[in-house]
Amino acid sequence: MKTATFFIRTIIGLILITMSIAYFFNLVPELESTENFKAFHVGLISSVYLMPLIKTIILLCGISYLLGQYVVLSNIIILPLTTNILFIDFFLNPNGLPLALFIFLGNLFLFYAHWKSYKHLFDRKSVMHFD
Amino acid sequence: MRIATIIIRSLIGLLLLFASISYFLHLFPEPPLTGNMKTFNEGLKASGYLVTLVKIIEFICGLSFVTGKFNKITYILLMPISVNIICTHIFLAPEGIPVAAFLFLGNIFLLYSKWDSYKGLFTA
Repeated sequence: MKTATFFIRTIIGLILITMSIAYFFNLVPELESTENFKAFHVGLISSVYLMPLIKTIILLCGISYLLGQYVVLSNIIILPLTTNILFIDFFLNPNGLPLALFIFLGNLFLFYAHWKSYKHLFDRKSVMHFD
Repeated sequence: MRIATIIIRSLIGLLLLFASISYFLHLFPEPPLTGNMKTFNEGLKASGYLVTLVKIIEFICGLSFVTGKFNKITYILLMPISVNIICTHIFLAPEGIPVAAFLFLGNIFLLYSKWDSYKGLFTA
């Protein structure tokens, strides 16, 4: 179990770092794609902040996974991104689906591996800091 | 402090319920959009799922905020959405900044109000 966690964490970390570096240094050629995917991509670029924000978060989380530091926090931060990567590839870009599925399931697996740290977040009632 | 928390939580909850319900029931006509905001909005619609997903999460968070149940998880759940709302407004639609800033700062304040529960997440 411990070895599996280590391997999945490292592989996902490497994938995430590759994705962000490829973006920052413009290593990926423009993909010819369907109309909707293109419209979506143009929309993201027109928001100005979104792509750099996403890629910065992916880079930080990738480094965190690779080093094994603050994995509990990185898991939560990266979850919205992996969810959206999965949905986008499912709806618009089926070619990328296997990779997206691997990242998403790997993320869920890492949640499961650290479940002890998250369990208390699902309490119905909770004490306030100020009480 | 306790009262302030309850007031902010309920206000944000109502705001979220209003935003999501008016989207699902089409209560308001869509305002005309221009420039980058229009391109951005068309991009979101082209994705097919994104706006619906965001509104469902807003609805769940709104219910949880108003009733005060399961708050620990919904404060985290709302965070990515409020970050994106404030960034969108700063870069594309400055007239909406006050509401967006209230949502974002309110969310951070609410996270702070339960900080003891989140400390455990910052360990390696």
